Amino acid sequence: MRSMLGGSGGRNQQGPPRLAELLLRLLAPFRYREQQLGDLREAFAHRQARGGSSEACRWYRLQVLKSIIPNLALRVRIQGAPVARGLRRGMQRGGALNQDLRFTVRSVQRRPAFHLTIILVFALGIGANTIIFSVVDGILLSPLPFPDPDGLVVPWQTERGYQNSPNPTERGLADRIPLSFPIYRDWAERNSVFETLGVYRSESFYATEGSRVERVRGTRATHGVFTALRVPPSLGRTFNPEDDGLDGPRLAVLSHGWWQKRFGSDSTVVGRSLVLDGETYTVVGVMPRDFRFPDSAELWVTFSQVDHPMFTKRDANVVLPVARLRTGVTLDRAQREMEILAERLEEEKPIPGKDRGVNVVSLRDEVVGRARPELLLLLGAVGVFLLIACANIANLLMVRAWERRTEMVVRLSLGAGRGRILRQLLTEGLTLSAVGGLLGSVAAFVLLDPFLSILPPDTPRLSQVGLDHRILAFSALLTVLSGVIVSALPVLRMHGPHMATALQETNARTLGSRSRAQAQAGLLVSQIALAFLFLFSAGLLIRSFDRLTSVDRGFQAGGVIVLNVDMGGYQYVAEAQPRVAFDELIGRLGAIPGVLSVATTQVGPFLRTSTRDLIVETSQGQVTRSTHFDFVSSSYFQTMGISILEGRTFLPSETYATDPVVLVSEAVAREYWPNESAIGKRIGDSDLPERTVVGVVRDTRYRLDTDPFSLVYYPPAPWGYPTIVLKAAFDPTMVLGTLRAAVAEMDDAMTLSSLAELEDTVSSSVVGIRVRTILLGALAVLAATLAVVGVFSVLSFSVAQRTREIGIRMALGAGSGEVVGSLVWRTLTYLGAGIAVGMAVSLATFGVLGQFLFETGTLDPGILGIVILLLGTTAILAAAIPARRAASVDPVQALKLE
Amino acid sequence: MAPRDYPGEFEQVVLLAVARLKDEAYGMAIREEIAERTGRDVGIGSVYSALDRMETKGMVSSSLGAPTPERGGRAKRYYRLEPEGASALNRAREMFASLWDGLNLDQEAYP
Repeated sequence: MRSMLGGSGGRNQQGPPRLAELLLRLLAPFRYREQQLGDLREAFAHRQARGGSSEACRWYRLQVLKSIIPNLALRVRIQGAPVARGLRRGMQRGGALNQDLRFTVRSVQRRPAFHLTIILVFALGIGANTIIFSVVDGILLSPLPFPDPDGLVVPWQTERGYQNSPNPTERGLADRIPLSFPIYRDWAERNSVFETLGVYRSESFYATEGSRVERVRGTRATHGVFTALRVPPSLGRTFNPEDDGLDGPRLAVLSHGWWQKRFGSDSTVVGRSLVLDGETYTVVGVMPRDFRFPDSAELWVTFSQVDHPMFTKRDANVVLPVARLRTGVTLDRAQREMEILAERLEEEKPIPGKDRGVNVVSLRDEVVGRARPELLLLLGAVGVFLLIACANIANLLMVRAWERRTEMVVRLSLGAGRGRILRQLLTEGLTLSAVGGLLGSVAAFVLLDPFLSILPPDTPRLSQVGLDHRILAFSALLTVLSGVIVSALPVLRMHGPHMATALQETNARTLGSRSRAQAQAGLLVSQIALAFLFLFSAGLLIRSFDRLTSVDRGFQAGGVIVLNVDMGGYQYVAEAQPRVAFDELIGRLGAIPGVLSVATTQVGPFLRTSTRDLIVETSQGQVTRSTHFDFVSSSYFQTMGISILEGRTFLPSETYATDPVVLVSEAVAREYWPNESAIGKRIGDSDLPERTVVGVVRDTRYRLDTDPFSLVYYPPAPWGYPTIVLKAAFDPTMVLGTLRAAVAEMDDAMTLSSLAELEDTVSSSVVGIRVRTILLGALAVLAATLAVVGVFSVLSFSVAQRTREIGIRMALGAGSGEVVGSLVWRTLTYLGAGIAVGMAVSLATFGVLGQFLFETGTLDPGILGIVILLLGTTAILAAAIPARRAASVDPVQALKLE
Repeated sequence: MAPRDYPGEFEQVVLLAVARLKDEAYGMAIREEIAERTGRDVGIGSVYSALDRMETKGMVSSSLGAPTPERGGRAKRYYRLEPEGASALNRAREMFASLWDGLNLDQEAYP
């Protein structure tokens, strides 16, 4: 879909972007329409041949956007006043609609600023809804890119023991535990609900060809993954059931992209061999261009001949499942039958200490589940915003209808039917909403791409988002609906006795119609209530965001640089000594001026997480717990600014293999040894039954929005190459270049795979929350502005309407203070009522908002106070102008008005 | 338009492009000519807007060509410089020439 707009994909290689072409077709005047379309198509083809499709699409869209204004100007010149001319032509033919439209055009001409305001408010509301709905549609509603996507599910394991664990690590894992290879085998063989069940595991490989070493993101997969997804290869075949065994053949299926990059789209690739991590694989097929599963995979290989215990242990949960339900099997039934199967297996082949269950989730929920509450919150917010906009416009139109009551009465008395007048008002409302909706849709068209670019990059299925005919139909529906809503209220006021009394009112300019005043007050109160709801929610989100980003992380990110080097190439270089090279690099980095200290970590805050089962000796005996862990060097705590509360850090000489020592975080010490010192206590694991705690360090957060993990630190491990962290003395950006150069100076097999400031990593972890907060904040400000404008217009109207009454009261001795006072009092009444209703709605719906808040109550009194003050002050300021006008009413003039 | 009026700056640019292209002056060719010679990447709509203005003033005339497949079967509209356009360009050039006469901004008060 996006390729229509954004042209990122290759699907549009044959033609220019369709939506842009459509826009041009709509905008270009008839005389030049075919010429412009032809010119652009011709130039598009040339550009496509020269610079590729996406470049050509970008150019095409830019051309269309640049041509909007000249084309509109051209139309105006060619057709005179285009709308008026069209209408004139229609009106000559006669017909009620044309007459209504003519009235509309006249009334717009009479009050251009007033109607422009209405159109802009419509455009704002409909444009915002169009953008958010297109995002919601692309991410949540559009189907997954696989045939019959509804049958796809992910059968997770669960661990009942974790569900109520005091340990947040365990709770987080509880209902989404991957499978172990043996369990997958049993499930695949014995289940009765899946047509196919496959498992996969992402790994990275080094592909070698001669002396060239290249890193590739691969996925081990069983044949079931491809059969479940039902995507046939574009070349060759995928895996067969007999390829799945750990002793099966080494086969590879390539992604379209990697096939292009590595083999130049060579169609004879099937049957060729490929060396991955030093092992030879046979290429059996190539997948189509759009196939992505999992998202990052560049190639898929069989699980064959992976000689690793993690694929034979029953409790090593290392593979991710995906399955397709048998036809006619529901999610519920799959869940029930898999539970039974899991229980039976548990009896036959128990895993000690575990209480496993099953959790079958649809693949769509799995992919987009994370984004759903967020998107629905935004959709709700723009929906409410449109309601406020409609209330505002309805109010303005009611004022207008009252102003025009004489005209109506005259037309009625000259024989116009009541239906005729009602229809005219409806035409007016719909015309205004149509122009506003068109403007809003064009704005959405232009602003969608910039909007998508501020969304967090890990938002699922972002590439699915685009404007298409369904979104435009949605905007059209909103346009019509809001047009009807805003016209309905003034129209309703025309019914019943009002029509009859309208004429009398015209002469007796005393009090306005009581029921109209009530309707206006009702609209105003609901606007204030909704604006209050908005401001209060946004205030809570802002406070929550502030708390989140200023929460005590337990470490000092300032000046810390995180650096990863890829040492994988070494194993393919003769006489390589990667360990020596790595230690040499650490030494060189530490010697760079401006670097205060260097340390290593296998995991690191905001980088990764890793958990393992630990056997902890407590006063109640031994317990086994899943706990986060890390391997860090002696200077880690100093580099990261994590304080050591008790005991000591590691000695530079200590390693995981040779020294049975650990450090623990406060949370661990508190959980297992609440009233005594942790120093000297024992912790064991699968490698070594007893290690001694030598120090306790402060809790650190590995994510901002979760409590600090229970953490056990080991001295550096002899395997793998950890992440390097450095503390820079000054501005860390000053040493980035030197660091890059230091890695480049080492030998060719070592490459820098990432280099970032830790602070950036921390703040990008909350980018989604930041976007949400900013969007809602902006909407809240707009909503409050509309509400204040509403207060202003209603009071101005009421003063204008009551000029005579005020004049009489002042002539009878009322001071201007009293007049102003009564207006201020009315404002305060509206405010009070609006805020009360808003509060009530808040209380009823804040369960929804609560899940987005971090350490912030849904009734935060500080925010409540600020919002009331803000809304109150602006509303009273808005009331001041009409109040001053009322106070300056000259009684003599006012009475002469008659 | 009174005969002594001058074409606007963009109108001059478009007129000159039409004159340069002779028999090959249609919308996109004119746009490309301007982009190539002046570096101004104007929208196709602006080109047509200027041409339309000048056609009503009699500076250019247009005729439809044959449709071609690479344009999706759409015809080109070819423009020709008319005597009125040529004399407008000349007027503009003379006007500038006489204003420039004797001026050398590099050496005077504008370094």
